[in-house]
Amino acid sequence: MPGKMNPRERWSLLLIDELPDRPPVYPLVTCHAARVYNCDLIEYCTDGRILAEAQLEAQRLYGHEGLSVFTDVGIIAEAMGSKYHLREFEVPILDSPLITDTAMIGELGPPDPTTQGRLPVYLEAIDRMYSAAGDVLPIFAFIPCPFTTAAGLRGVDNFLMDTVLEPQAAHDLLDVSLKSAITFCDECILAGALPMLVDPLASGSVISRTTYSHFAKSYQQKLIAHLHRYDLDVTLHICGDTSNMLDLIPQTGADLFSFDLADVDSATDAMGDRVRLVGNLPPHGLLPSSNLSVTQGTNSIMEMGLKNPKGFVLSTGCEVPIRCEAQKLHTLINIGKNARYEEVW
Amino acid sequence: MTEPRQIDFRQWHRLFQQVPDRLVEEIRYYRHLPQAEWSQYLFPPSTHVVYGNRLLRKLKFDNSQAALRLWGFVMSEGERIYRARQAGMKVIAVMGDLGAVTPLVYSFPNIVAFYPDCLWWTPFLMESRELFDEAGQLGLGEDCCFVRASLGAFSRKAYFPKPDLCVGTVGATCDDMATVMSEAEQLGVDIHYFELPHRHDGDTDKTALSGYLENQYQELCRRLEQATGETFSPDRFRETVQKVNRMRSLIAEIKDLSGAPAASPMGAVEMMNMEFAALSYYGDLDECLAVLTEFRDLMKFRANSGQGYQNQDLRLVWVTPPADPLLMNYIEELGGRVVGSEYLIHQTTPIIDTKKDPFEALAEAHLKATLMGSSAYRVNLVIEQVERTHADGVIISGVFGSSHCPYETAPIISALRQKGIPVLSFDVVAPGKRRLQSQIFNRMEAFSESLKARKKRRAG
Amino acid sequence: MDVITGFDRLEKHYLASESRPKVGYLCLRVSPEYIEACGADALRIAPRPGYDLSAFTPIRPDGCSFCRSVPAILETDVYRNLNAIIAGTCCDQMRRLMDTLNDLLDIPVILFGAPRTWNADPDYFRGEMIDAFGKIEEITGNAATETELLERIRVHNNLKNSVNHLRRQEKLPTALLQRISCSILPPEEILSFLSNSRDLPAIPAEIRLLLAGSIPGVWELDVIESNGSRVVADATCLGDRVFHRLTSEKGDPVQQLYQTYVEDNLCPHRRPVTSTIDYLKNLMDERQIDGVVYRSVKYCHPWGLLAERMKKELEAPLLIVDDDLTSPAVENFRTRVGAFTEMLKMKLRRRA
Repeated sequence: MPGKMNPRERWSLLLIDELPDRPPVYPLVTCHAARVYNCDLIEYCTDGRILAEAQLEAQRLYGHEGLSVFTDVGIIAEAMGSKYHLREFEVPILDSPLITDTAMIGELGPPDPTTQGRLPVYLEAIDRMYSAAGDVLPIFAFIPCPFTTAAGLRGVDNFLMDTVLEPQAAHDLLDVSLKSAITFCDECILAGALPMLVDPLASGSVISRTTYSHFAKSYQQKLIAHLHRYDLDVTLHICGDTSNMLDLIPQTGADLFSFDLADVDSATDAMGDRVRLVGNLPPHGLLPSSNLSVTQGTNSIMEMGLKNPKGFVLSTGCEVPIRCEAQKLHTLINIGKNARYEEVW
Repeated sequence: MTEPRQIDFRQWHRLFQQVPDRLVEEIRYYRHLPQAEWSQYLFPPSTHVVYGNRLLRKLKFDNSQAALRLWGFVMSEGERIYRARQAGMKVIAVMGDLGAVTPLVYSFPNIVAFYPDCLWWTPFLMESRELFDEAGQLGLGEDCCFVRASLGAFSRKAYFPKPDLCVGTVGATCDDMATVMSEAEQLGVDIHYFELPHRHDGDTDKTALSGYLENQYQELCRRLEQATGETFSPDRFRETVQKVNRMRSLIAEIKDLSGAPAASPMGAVEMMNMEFAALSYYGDLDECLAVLTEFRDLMKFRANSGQGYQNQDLRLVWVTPPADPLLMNYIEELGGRVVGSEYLIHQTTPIIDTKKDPFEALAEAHLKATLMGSSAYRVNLVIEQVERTHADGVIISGVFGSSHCPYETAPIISALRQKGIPVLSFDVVAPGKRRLQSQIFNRMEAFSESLKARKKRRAG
Repeated sequence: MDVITGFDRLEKHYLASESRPKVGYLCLRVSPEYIEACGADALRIAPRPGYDLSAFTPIRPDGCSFCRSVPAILETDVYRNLNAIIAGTCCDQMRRLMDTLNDLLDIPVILFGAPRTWNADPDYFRGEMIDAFGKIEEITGNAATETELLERIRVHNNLKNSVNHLRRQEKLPTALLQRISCSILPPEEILSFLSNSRDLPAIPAEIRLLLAGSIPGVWELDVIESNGSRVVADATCLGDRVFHRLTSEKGDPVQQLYQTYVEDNLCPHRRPVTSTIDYLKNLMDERQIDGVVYRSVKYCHPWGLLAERMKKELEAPLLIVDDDLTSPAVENFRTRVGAFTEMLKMKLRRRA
């Protein structure tokens, strides 16, 4: 239909403080794409071609407005040496962290994204998606933030202990994780993707506001500053409960904040004049077993989101579940696509 | 200074780390708007790759900071026009005249002009058919030239803000843009038409024509007064025109420097970007002057010190701007260098007389327009470029479906052949037509080989 | 003998006997009255039977196919021995065609500027027109006097009135209309021919069509009308549009001719194009049109690129066909027009 913006155009306007026809609709369709494509998650996580094709297939099915390159939050830690367990029906999980002793941290260096671990899988997937649809769809490469990568290198429990018992070691590990994230971000950019920073371990559901301030935020800041030097608009995604740290988010410099367990109005109050919000239908609501009304939930989120002064993206609070019920996701997306900003011309 | 080289976007991404933070921070547009966090523009091509400009992954870029600044300035124009609107400036869309009426537009305060015509590069930069398909749905298909992309942009409402005024030049200029205007009207765009009459070339008296154009400028001035709520000020006009003249002189000087005898001091795509600054100054006249001044200084340095790219020895004049800049890179890879050009914008070259009545001066300058008169006039512009630059050959990158290429191409080729100048002529193909494009590449290869052989014969 | 054959014979006879200079003209921005007042016969340059489709043209294949055909059209008998060619700047391609002809031909090729916009400064463009006809006067050695101009205006108005009247009565077939509009016959001769033919009965039409678009070739009309439909309104460059505007017989005749042919010209190359669209709408109402055959020639920008807009604006069944005067696809055209008229017939039957 003539006059209908494509996703790239919609996002572009949003990012320069212009209202598009409506907010972009971008549920975090990640590993669920493997299910749509009918491949197992080991293939999806280890083969760039499959990852790309699955993403494109899912996008064709649902019509959401962005492609997501994401397998698991351990992608950098694994490339640096931690062992992850790949599973057919679930996302990879940490098997054995690389750093068993903080003395090992000094020997660490950033991985080569073109050869190490599964980082090349990302790059191949981005390259393929970009070539296939980069003119109309933005491609988001989910990059684990230093805090999350450090946890993947050290093991979550040990790293959290380090923040208390060996804070300098924790910072050292965060430093090298930051360098690794930067290196990986650069390669993802060169392949054509916009880095989207994910920091699930920095969630209020896992750490305190103080720990977040001292150990997560400043590294998020540095990573975002690196990307800002290239004039890139950065989305920061933190899952779980972030309601106790909403006021700190603008300090990271993030241009968009993708959040999970906090309400849109509170996020708007805390940062709506500076940060675009991305959220936040609870992902479990998309499961077949859920009793949550997707229609009601999405309508309510959209109603609040449309009022965010800096702009809004309709999304899920976290990854769309692998076993998401397609119809429910369609419902969310359709509601998003029927919303409208007041036309400016 | 680093040795001149053409590098790709990956290399620029890494090289950009070495650009001092201070510079990245300092280089901004709309400097009259302090604290504008969005106004920086010194960024590498990779930034624009991420936002969908896929062709940049294939292009080669000059490795200088001045060229990077130019690229950043060019690529940020779209956002800049939106920011202008957000900052309360009036936005004027100018179509069809390619750089003639903008000095008048910019002599109004708090105003910015842009050319929807230039959206014809967008499908190529994005390697996308989106805007062409959109135009196709509105009735402009492949039998209309690439400017139809601008109709797609009008329809999508995502490439520039709603203009406060659209100025459409019709008459003795390309008809395709006139069609875009007509269709844009259908979309609800209000257009002030500027009539450009045919110029009889040769020894004919141009007084009446000039007088007619003066009236057109006066009428446009009244419309601009209405649109801006400001009164035309001759003093402000003079001040603006002095800047425009400075820019035109800079462009002429840079073009001269590009023909430096020793080695090519700059890439053809950068040169084209530079030349097209004369249209609407990429939305910021003052900053554009700063960009071009730095660019000129670099070119001067390189030309004077004999620095330039290696292995580009075939001196070429390029006729008609290629919508696909990759073609320029390709000829450079084959040993060509573009030392002269005729990009249909001769109207942006005259120095506007600041002592004359403003409208008379504008009309007089407008009379130099490339497309306004006979094909013979354009033929002469091409020949003049060839002779001035001692070119070895000419490349004509035509536009299929345009109203002028079908008629001009044969006379230009014939005149060049009569002078013994080899010429390669082809039509640029739309994005995605790889087979057709590979045919062009083949022809370019053959052309460069024959030029090399000819040079060798002549030398030996 | 049918009326068309009769007309063709008359024209042939005139061509064989005429001795005045012959001035060819392109498009509707040229006043034949003015040419005649300069003492020349005015001959509209339009496709004629027998022009060589494969003749060399220096214009590329993506140029307007009429413009590309003109060098070949000028080789046909009727255009032999032209003393000059004159045109006003119409669309950009027509303007450039004059450049091409100037290179190709040994006769004067005279171009005058004409406005694309409405109500543009008439002094300038009138001056352009007068200068151009001044050159015709030099060629014929005959200055166009005010008396002669007024006389030619009067005669042409009579012809226009007569044509319009017959068209409204549907007694003048479109084929003859197109012949008349590009005929070298002086209006007096045409008027006499028409008055002798007035006993022709009205032509029945099952399907009433408007033909709109670029200048017609030599076969399209026959194909359109070969299956029960009739073109009762013709908005092409050789149709009713040629005759619809009378020239005022009061005041300065040059000014009046300027007004009719230059200022009031209704070609879709004018901007904005709304007046042309309104003209088509009025014509459709007046002639009670069932459907529109919108035929443009390949790469004709004014008509071709306006097709989709016309489809939206005219709000009638509309068939868009693109025709190439240098490579006609007759059967393709026949099939598409056939299907269109079938559809219209079914529609009318349903309605009945």
